[in-house]
Amino acid sequence: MQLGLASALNALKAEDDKVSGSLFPEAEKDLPDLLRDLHEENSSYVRAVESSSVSQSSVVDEGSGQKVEQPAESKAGEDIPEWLKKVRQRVGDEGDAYGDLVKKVSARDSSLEEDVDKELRGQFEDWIGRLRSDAQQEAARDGFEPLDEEGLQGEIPAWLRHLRESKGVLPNLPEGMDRWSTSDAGEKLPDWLGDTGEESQAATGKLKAEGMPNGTGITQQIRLRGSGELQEQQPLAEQEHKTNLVTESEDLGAQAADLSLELDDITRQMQVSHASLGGATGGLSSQAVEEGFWEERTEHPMLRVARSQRSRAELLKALVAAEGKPAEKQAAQRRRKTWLFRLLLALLLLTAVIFPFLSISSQTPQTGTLPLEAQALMDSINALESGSPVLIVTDYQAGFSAEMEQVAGLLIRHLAQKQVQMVLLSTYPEGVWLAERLLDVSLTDDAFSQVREQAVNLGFLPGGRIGLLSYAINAQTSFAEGVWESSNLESVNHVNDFSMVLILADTLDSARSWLEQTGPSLIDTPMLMVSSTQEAAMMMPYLDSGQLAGMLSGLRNAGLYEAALGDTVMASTIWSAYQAGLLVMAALFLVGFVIGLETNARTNQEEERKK
Amino acid sequence: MSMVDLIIGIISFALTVMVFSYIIGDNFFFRLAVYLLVGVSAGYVAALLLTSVIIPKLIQPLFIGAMETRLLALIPLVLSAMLLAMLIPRFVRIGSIPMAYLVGVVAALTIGGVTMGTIIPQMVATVNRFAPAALLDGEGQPWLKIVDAVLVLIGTITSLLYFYFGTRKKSKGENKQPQLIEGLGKIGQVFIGITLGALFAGIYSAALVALISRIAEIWVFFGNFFRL
Amino acid sequence: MKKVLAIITAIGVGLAVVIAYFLRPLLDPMLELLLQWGIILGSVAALVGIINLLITHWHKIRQKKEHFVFSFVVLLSFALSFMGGIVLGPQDETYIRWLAALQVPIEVSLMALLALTLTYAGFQFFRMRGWTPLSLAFGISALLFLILDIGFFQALELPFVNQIIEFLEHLPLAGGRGILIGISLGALLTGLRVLFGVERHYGE
Repeated sequence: MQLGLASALNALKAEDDKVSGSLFPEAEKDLPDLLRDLHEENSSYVRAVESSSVSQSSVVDEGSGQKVEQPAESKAGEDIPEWLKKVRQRVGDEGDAYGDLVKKVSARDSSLEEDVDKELRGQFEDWIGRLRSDAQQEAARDGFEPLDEEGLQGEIPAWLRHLRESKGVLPNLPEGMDRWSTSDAGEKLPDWLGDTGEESQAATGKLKAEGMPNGTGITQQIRLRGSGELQEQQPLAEQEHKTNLVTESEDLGAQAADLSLELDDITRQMQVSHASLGGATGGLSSQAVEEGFWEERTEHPMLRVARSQRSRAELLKALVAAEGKPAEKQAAQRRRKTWLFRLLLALLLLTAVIFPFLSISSQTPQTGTLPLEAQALMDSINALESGSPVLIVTDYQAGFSAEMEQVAGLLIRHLAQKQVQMVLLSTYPEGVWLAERLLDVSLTDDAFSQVREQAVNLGFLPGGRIGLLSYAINAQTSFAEGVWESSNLESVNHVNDFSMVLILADTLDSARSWLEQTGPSLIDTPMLMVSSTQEAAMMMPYLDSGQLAGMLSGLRNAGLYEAALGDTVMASTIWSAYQAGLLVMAALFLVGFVIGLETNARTNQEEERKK
Repeated sequence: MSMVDLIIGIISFALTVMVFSYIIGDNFFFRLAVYLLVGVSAGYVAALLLTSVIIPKLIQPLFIGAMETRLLALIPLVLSAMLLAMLIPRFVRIGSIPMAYLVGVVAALTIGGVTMGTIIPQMVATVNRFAPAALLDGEGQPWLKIVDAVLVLIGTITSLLYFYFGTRKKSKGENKQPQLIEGLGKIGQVFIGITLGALFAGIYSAALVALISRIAEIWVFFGNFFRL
Repeated sequence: MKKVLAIITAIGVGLAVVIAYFLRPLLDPMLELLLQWGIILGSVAALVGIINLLITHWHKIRQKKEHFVFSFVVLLSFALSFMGGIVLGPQDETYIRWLAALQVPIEVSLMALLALTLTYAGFQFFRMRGWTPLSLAFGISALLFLILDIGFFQALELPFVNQIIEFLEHLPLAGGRGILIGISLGALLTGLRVLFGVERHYGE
């Protein structure tokens, strides 16, 4: 019952607000934890139901742990529409999400056959009480007024009064919810409300039969409704449950308001679960929609407050028409399409990048002006004297070795031309061997063999940021015993004794550590950087502040640097492939931009039209 | 091409293909390559830490040097033992003391580092752009330099505003910021967007170089292989 | 008791290092000692992490959990790599050669894979609904820097175009500085909270 009322409240909310004031105080909208709890409980229940022996016509009573034997199939099953029969048939063939839902429908049908157990009823009412107090506590904790049950009870009759007045059922609603819980109330209620009453009754029956004192059933119930079970439920209700429509309305009057809070979330869930959603929240059965329910009753005064329901019903119609297709299947199709598209884009890029390797291209030096920071770096290296110690920090991972070896390799060659003494270290474990690799791939020329031999790899500087400050205080003690002694670095006792500190960094964090911990100790030694392009933009502030004396990053700048040196190591194929790759990405961005422009314009138009 | 080069080339090619197989979806070969990487790099790091830190800095000082040095070496040894005890579930809490030591040191270094290495220099650099010497000396029109300096100042301040107030607003939907801050935050969004866009292009560029490098390496390997 | 000890340790050591840091080089010997202990503890902590990783994989194998084959690969490759490092030394030429032969192709390929997946992200980026100043600026900036990186406009060698390019390439500075100062202020605040015992990132 609470479900029906809550659903109806949600459906009517938008238009009813104008007539009888908001039934949903703002405070009520702020119960996300309660909702989450409910959903979590619900999903755990869904799992429990799925694993329970529904197919064996029994439902586990979670409260008592006993198994309640159920009839295999309710009589109502015989009245089900053709499409639902097909869907049910499919359950036997494939155990997809849709099939599960139908299994649950069967479970609920079975549960309706159960007599009302007093003990279970007590559990149910306990749960309702807990739910309500939780909601109040939640609201109080969030700093809102606690949900006033009395107030809510006062509001619900107001809403119902409005409905009933419009229907002409109940001109003068007596005080208190108990007054309208008459046995024939269900018959006098509008059709859609009658439906919800039946469904709620069914839901209560289910709760009782399955023994869920923890409130696990509510969202589950709504989900089940969302799965199109209402069609199945309606005949049953007509035969057996109409007179019991409002037997539990005392509690539910207050609960409806509480539960209406969930509806936004629930509706979303229902959308996800593919079937029915909006139509169901309006208390409509999809069968009713199929039968042209709205067409027959368009003149009914009730419908004037349910215009939104109508649009939802249309949506429902479309969904019902697509009943045979399980949501999973559609989602899988979408996934496959996305996968295929991704694959196509990847292949496009691969083709663009491989193509220059197939074509024969001549060696052309790059044209353009060397950026100021790269020029500053070149000037700094040019100013070095032969034999001066230069500290090279290889703080990059192997993944960036391709980029670093292309860019930093140039500087290594430039330094080798200046005949400086290279001292390498790294705060990255793998930086130790990447340093060796960098020297090997950069100094292949025999002319550099002496410089290569004189280069010292100090190895791993442990401790990260701690190690860097320690190194700035005392360069020698930061390394293992004997490392410094064997390096023949007599002239260097302090980091400031180096003629230049060149940092090859792949991340901002690593570069910042050097700049922050060691930078302040460098008085007259310039600190320069070779940055991966992924962080180059973040290095600019350090260049601007003068903390970095120069920087080189990116293949294009490396090409310009190479051209300025008169070096021609970088293959033109690599540069062409790089350009092709960039072009592909830029083109994709542009195409996406054009499509996005069109989509956004259309969305805006639709929104304006709605307004 | 030597035999070792050939084997290394084949391994390299196989591993590249295994990783690239991810394009068609997560699969056994991709995972195999990734787990192999985890194992190999963990083994290397463990060996490196043992040989370049634990043995020379923790164990050796216990046996070499003056008594004072040896006694001092006991402190990190005890703390290290407490850290190792964390591996036994019953003694996990013992590890909190050496961890507290580490956290304390790193926090202190962070305070010193960001203050002296980033906050002060960056703020000074923003202000220095307005210094007469900076505006009048060097190449370029002074008015252009003023525009540039103003742009950097506005960008820095509005980005910071967005950084702090923009994100705070999201967490408390109801508490709206004053309109001025909101407007400035929007300008900040633009500046941050520009920087993030540049970073995105940079990431792609770095990844693209890696892709080209793999293709080039395989190209060269097969070139050499068929020339054999 | 352990809680209190840990808090005292963090605050005491933190304050000592901060004071020594700002009074450099006055208290350098003390600072150096504290840092050396920190380096050792950091390394031991990393080792504990590795051992923990191995234990996790060992358990996976013993319990024959799903994909335990990969755990076997981790342990085997670890054993070979570790033994190689211990026996030959982590800077041995042969050891490094084999290490690089395994690590470089995998890591570089993973990086390359990023390029392939980013193409899809690039295409999808502008297709999302509801553009904001941030997303628009991001997209346009990314597109602009991609185009500039191709080098076509620079190759024209037109002074006016070059000036515009220089201006555009300079634009990320302002946002970058804002982000940097923001990050630093956040880090400073966290550091201070640790020193005042408000933040306890050490298992308390």
